[in-house]
Amino acid sequence: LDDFDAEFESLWSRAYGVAYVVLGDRSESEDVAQETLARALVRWRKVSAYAGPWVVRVAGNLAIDRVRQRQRTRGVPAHEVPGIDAQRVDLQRALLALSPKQREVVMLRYVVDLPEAEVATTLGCSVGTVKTHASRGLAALRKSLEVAP
Amino acid sequence: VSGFDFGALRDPVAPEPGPRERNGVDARARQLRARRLRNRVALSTGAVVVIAAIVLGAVGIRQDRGPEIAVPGSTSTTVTTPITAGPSVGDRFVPPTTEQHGLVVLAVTLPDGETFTMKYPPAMRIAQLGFAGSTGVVGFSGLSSRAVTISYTTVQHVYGDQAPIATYRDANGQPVPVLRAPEPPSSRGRAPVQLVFQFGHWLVQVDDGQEAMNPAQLSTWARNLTGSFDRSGYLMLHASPPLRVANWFDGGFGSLSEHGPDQIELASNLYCGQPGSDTSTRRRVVSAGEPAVTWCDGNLHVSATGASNFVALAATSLRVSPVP
Repeated sequence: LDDFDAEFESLWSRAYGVAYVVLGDRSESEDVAQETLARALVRWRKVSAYAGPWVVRVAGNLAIDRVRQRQRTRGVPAHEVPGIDAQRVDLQRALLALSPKQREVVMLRYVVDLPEAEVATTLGCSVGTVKTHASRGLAALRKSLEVAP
Repeated sequence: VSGFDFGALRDPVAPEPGPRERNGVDARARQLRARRLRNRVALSTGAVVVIAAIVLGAVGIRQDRGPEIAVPGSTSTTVTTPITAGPSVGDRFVPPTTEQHGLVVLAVTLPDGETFTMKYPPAMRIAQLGFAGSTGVVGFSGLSSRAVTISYTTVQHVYGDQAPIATYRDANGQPVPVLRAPEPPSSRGRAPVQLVFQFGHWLVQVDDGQEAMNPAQLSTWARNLTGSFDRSGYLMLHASPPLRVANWFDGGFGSLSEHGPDQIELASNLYCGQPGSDTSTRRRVVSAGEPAVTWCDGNLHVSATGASNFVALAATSLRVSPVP
């Protein structure tokens, strides 16, 4: 039996970890973790079979949404938002520029720190595909570093 | 490798989730479930309301095995017909069934026209749980995509005499109002506004939430989304460019927002065919203490929860097969 309660701690920590890398804000990351886990709970019968990667995907998307929201509501470029260290701002900018698939690979490979083979298993693609997406994702990250002020 | 030190971006003292976090998740999950219900018809406790049974002719309801309805005519009708109500429970449509070799045969049509048949023992009474759900409509050319909520009720019933915030015209020149969702305002502010279509007795609500549409976009939505009904009475949505009806559906039979009652959740093109996702093997799950059984039938994810007998029957006897 797959029980939400039994997996709660590890899933929450994973969601929080992904959100924190992107957002760098404890309170916002807790919000993202809460929202992610609540969505998982509501859909538990559907997602419990692959809850780990599902949580990473949703938490990553919610965190990116928050970055977009910050940009919209504050009306300033991300790199001028105070209180966020420059490297994180570069990461945010790069993640926004990635395709959903590339973002997913970068999240799993570098943010969650899964080995390539495990990312491939998680996403149901070949290691070669993971390498390709990771490589393009990293290129976008490097580009972001180059243009950073 | 990347020039990024991802390790440095992680929280060195990440909090451990405890009862506070768990309670927060439960509370938010309750809100999410309540949102599914927010526009739904209030029912007196335990009451099953069967709305007037007038569907273009004869409607028969057999209390034991559910309604069996004969609907003459073509497979679909236009959307401008007056509102007529078929059998329903709450704001969910109770579709007709037939019987075959001691099993109930229930045809299901999803809003994108995908059809399949469910066969089950009469004791499961799936049709009587009522059908509702949500589906996606994709927008192109700068038009945003939206998930739309589909239920079996009327604008009047849900919104009362609320004056529209704005009114647009559909493809036939009929009014499509923008109304405020009848939910209590959230802590973040006012309840969202919704573009509201009435196709026969089916209500289609389009949340104009996070990224509010401008009047031109709302007008485009109103003009390009239409509905028709199949011969069982299910709603099928149609969209013309720059809109397209997505092939996913999330809904099913029963009050999916509540714990406890019997329910069959159906999700098309959302949760199957992914690494680690369910397969055709029926899998027992526990969610919030409730037993359930889940599996995939092609791209259709099926899950059943409720009374132990209901779940056991679903695990052993419920058959779902696509209609080509």
